[in-house]
Amino acid sequence: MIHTGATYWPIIENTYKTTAQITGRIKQEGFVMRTIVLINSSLIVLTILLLAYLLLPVNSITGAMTALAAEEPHCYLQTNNATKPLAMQSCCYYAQQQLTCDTQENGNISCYTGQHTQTYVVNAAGADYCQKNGYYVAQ
Amino acid sequence: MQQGLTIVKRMDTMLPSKKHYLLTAVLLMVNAALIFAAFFQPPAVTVSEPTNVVYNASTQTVQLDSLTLEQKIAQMIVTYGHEHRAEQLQNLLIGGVHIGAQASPEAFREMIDSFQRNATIPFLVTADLEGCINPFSAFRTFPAFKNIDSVNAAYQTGDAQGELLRRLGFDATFAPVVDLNDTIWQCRSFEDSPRMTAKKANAYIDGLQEHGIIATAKHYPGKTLIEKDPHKELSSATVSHRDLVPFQETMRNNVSAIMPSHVIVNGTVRSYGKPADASQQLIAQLRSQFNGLIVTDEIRMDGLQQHYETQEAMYRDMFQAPNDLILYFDSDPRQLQDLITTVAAAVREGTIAEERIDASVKRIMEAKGWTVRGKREEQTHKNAQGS
Repeated sequence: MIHTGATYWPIIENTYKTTAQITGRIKQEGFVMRTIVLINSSLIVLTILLLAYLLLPVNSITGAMTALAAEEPHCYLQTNNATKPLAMQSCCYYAQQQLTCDTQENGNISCYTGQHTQTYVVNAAGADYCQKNGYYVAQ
Repeated sequence: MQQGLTIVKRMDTMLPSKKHYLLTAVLLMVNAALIFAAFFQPPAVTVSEPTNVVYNASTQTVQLDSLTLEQKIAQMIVTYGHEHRAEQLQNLLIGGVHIGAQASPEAFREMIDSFQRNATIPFLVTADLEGCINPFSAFRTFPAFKNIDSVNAAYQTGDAQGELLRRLGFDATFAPVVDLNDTIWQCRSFEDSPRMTAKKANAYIDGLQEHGIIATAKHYPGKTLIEKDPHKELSSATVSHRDLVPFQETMRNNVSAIMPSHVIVNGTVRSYGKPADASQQLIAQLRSQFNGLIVTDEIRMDGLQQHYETQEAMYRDMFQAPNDLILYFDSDPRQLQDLITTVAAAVREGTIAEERIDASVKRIMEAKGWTVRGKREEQTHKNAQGS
């Protein structure tokens, strides 16, 4: 049976006659309350992550967490003498066509074919963006 | 006792109430629904071998009316060549595969063979060997377009690339870029005057096409690789006669294909508020001057998608305009089938004329070296002739 706060007080009064009994019951109910609050909070976080996964251009729950952490998808084109930002879809299009993709220490993924050519560097959110849009850009 | 009761009264608000349990139940149900929506995969697409197609591999002829409408639409699609999807793409009768970088010539040949080996109608095999983008750079280098300083050097480059592409089993490359400037990669265009760009482009095209490789002049009508916001594709531009000169000259030189861009254009050529390759007027005007293949750029790029509220609307526009080949690099068979089904529905509704689809399929077959026939009795069924 579920007792609401309003109905609970008379039950307590009739059932528990000593301070020790009442204090024990408080602790027990406090634990249940904390557990419920914890479960509900976790479920709310999970709901937000799942909604982010479904609605944002990410490819995994990790990607959703990254996206929620406000990391924008980024891509940089590195040539012999310059590094410059590139529009994401062009980046995904060309990055997918490269021979090799490596994950760097900072979590970025760099895709390239031979030496002295272009390297396409995407951050984790960028890699998720590509994947979500059907471009395979991963190690 | 009284003290304890006071504490209980204070804590009363902390006791779990019906609404707490109700919230838990609702959240559990919402999460279950979201998990289902996020991770449920529809059953894998199973398309059986297209036994309905009447063709003769030895004479390279195919009977157009033996293809279903869906198969004809599939022939107009070039998708990305993921090897593990070869059989599904073969069964869907997808028209072409685009091959990305491989480590060696042998790897390229094996990859292409995996697609062509059991294909009913061979795929049109394409590459992006353009300007300074080189999928062969693991074992072969070529000069960037901006470093090609003479017409003869342009021919030599086209000749060398054509020889390599043909030897590896390619049919087409999406090159040359004849936009007058490339401020993004800074190496994909010839970076020359309109006349000199046209001369170099024609020499390069000659070099490629002498090896039977389809060259693609792009991105019609120009001004595509001009950077405004590097984070976004360019969405609109004003083109002038200068921009058109290389396209007019390459068309005169019988370039095999032209790729219109996703840019909304005004000026000498207009796309009437739509991306160039989705503009029926612009593509129809191009078609009136050019009888080769018209190949769209990859249609999932931001520059195109941002103009449409739904993918269905975009698909319809791309096929309503008389483009021949549509680049769609998501090779997931579910996505491909979605595209094909949408376009087929538009044809059946009468929004897109089937004759216009047939005309493109004929051009594509001819580009593959195949002949389209209309009389069933002249054909040999695949099963009968055991090819």
